[in-house]
Amino acid sequence: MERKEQWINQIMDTEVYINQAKPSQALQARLKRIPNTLSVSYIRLPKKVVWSVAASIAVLICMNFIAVNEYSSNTSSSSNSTELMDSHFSYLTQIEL
Amino acid sequence: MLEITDISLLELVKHDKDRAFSLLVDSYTGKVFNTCVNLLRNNEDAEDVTQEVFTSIYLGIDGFKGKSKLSTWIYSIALNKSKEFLRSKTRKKRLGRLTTIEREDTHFLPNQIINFNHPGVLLEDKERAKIFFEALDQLSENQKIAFTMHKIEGVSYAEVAEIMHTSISSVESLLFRAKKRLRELLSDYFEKNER
Repeated sequence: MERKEQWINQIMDTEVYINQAKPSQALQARLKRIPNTLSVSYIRLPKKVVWSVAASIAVLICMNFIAVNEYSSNTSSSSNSTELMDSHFSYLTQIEL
Repeated sequence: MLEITDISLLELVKHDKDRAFSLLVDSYTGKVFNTCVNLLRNNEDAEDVTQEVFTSIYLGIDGFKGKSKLSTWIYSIALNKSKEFLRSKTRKKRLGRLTTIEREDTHFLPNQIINFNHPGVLLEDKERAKIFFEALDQLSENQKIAFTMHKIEGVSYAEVAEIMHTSISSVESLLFRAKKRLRELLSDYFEKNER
C-alpha cells in the first residue's frame, strides 16, 4: 500500500521532472519573420500608365454612351416608319373588303 | 492589473509595431510553446500552433485594450488555438474510425501509452512522463486544461480562471477533481502493471 502511494506521488510530482521545454532557434526565426510575411507589398506603377489607363476607360465609357444614344434614336425612327406602313396596309385591306 | 513591461510594450506597439512584436516573441515564445506542447503532445504540431498564436497576436495587438494582463491575453489565444487544433484533429480521426467522446469512465489501460517525447523531460524520466500524460488524457477537457496550466505551466489560480473565463472557485474544484481522478487512474495502472 505504501509502495503504491509512493509510486503515485512520484508520478504526480510533475514539477520535479517536467521542465520548461526550450523552443528551437528555427521556431524563433519563423516567428520573427511573421511581420514580413503578413505585410502586403504593392508595385508602384508610373503615373503615365495610370493616367493612360484612366483616359482609355473614360473614352470607352463615352463611346458606349454615344453608341447607346444612336441606337435608341434609330429604333425610335424605325418604329415610326413601321407604324405608318401598318396603318397604310390595314387601310388597303379595309378597302378590299 | 497591467504590469510595467506590458505598458511599455503596448506603448511601443503604437510607435514601432514590428519592434514591439520582436520583443513579444523573445518574452513569450517559451510560454506559448510549452502551453501548446503540453496540450497537443506533439512537437511539430506545437510549433505550428505557436506560429498561429503569434500571427494572431501580431494581427490583434492594435486592438488589445489592456483590460487583462498581456500574458493572460496571450495564454487565452494559445489555449483557443490548441483547442481548435485538437478539435480539427479529432474531426479528421472520426472520418476514419469511431472514437469515444466521453472518456471519464474508461479504464486506464497500459497499452494506451502513447509514444510522445516531451522536450522538457530528461531521458530517465521519460517513462513516468508517458504514464502521467496518458493518465492526464483520460480527464475531461477542462480538468486537463486547468491541471496543465496550473501544475505544469505554473500559472496562478486567478490567471487560470481568467484564461478559462470562469471563477477561481471553479478552477479549484476542477483541480481537486482532476487530482482525485488522476490518483484513481494511476492506482488502477499500478495494480495491473507495477505490482
